[in-house]
Amino acid sequence: MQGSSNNSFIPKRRNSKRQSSRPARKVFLLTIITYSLLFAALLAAAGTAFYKNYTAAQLAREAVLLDAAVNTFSVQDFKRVQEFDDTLTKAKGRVDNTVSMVAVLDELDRITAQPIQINGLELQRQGDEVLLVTLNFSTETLDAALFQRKVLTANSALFADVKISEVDIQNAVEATAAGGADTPPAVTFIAEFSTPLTAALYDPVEARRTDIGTRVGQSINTLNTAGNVELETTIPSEPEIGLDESFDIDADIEFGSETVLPEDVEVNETTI
Amino acid sequence: MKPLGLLSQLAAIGLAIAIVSFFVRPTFTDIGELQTEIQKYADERERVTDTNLALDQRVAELESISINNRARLATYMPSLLDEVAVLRDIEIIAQNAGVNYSEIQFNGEHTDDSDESRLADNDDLLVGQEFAVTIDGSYSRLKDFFSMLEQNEYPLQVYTLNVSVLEGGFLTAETTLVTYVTSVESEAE
Repeated sequence: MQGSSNNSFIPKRRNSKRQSSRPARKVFLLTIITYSLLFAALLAAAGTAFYKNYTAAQLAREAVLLDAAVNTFSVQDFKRVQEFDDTLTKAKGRVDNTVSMVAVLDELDRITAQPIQINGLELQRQGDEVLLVTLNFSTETLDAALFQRKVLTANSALFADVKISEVDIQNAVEATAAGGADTPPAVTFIAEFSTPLTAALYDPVEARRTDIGTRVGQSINTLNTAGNVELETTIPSEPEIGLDESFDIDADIEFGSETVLPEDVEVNETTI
Repeated sequence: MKPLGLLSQLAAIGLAIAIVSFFVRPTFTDIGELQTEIQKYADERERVTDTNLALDQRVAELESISINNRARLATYMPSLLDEVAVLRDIEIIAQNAGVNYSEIQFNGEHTDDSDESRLADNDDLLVGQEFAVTIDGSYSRLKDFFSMLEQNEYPLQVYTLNVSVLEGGFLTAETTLVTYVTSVESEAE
């Protein structure tokens, strides 16, 4: 068997170690990165271009929608509503500052003591702030005048800053001779005070009372024959006050604690 | 993948960087600006829509006010003054109150020179129109007159009042009444 193997016509190969010539596997890392970057850049460019177009179209749609919304705004309706609101606001401002002259006169009725007559009334409104009221009172006795002054300063929430001035005490005989009237007033004085507008505001419910203006004489207030208002207030009688009817003006008159002048009352220009 | 040469690779990287730098980034900036614009437009549209809704609501409220009430408001606060009509109304009020009037006249535009008026925050821009009225009658009649003035369908506010005693138990009252209009023009002109 050994000979047959040697006689073979097939050339024998050396039993040498076969060296594999495997080619070196090259990893083209830089190429991959390059390709990736390039494609990524191209993709990003395409994507941003598409998205920009989409966003621009969206902006155009928004512009159209805004235009449509603006076009639905009715300037005419807006003007109509604005004018109405303006008028309503102004009307409310006037209504809120409307003074009830009847309320002022009612309050004057209420605070005017019975022996007192109002000879004159002056009233002046100053803006929407105050009413300045000047009343010319007359009465026959000085104690009634003092009582009236006390009522004015203490009993009225409507009238503030009461100032009494021009107190004039006349002898009845002289006054009769000078004026010629039957019962001339012995004491006249002027009361000035201010009323905040908010204290005498117009009340529609009160104003629509059917007896408004005509209730004088039905309530506590009465109208005297001279057209002046008298009040049936419980005024202390003269003996209670302690003043003699025929008082001496030069004598020291003591009216008690009830007739002490309030500190805020200014008495000036007193003439006898 | 066919390998690139080094130069080609560098060129490709440079191209990619150029694409990103000169196209992608500016496009992104543009997109950001566009989105900001879109947001602004959307906000404005929302505001306009809200305004339209509010206006529609106000118009509906206005329409819900009866014609009668609207006419009363227009009567209370007219835009123009018809002084002849006001004079006639004062005359009718005086007649209804039972007072005698010796003078009812239109004095023109009312000016309040008081400190209180000047200092007040008067931004309603109303124009006062002044009427001088002299009436006489009993106290209750005068009170009726003022009560009727208060109940008038437009303001006739007393600005000055001077009451004095007449002979025979009557009073005379000189008063200045002011009514208001929203415009300075007179209807009679």
